[in-house]
Amino acid sequence: MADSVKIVDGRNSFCPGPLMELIKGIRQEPVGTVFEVWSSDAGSAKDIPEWVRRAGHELISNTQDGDVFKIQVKKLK
Amino acid sequence: MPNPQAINMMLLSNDYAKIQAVAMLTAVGSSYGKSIKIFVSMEALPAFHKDAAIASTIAKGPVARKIVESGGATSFLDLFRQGKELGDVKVYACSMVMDLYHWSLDDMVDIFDDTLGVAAFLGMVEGETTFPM
Repeated sequence: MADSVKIVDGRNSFCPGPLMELIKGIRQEPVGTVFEVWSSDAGSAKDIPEWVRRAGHELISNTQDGDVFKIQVKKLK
Repeated sequence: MPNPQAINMMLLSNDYAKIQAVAMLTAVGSSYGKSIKIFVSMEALPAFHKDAAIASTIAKGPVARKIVESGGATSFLDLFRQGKELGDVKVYACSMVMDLYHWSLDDMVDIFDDTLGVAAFLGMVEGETTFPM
């Protein structure tokens, strides 16, 4: 399972850096790809799900692991 | 015809915070498929000159300094470039300021689509949401 998830490491980057990294990944990879964004920025943990909803993709999970927020997103279109 | 999804901005201030905010809105808005037109005029335009001595006249308040010191923020130029890459973003340099300083688009960073007067910009954005910044 783990090897099918693409990690987008946006740690140490501030809003909208992690989101822009995710967008870059979504543009490059095929439909169905699952991304996991790592962000040390709490703002992104709120902002990325909102972008995912508006952009029509699927938010799989949004968890906190120590200081890192991990947001899993599936590309739907 | 006015586009209800459009976001247009008149960037007039040399305040780093406002320029960064417009760049962030541009990058994220463009990723949603929003059409964005930006008119850069008055004190904001020098911030986009290729000559660093001219561009550095930009003003930074405490938050802006913190953003720069953090090293984690994407520069406003890169955010504008990303916005243009993602979708329909047009950036126009005010022809009045360009004329005042005898600058051409070759003197400016590579984000501009054209020079434009205020009448032409108002014509383009008629009936659409436009924010002065």
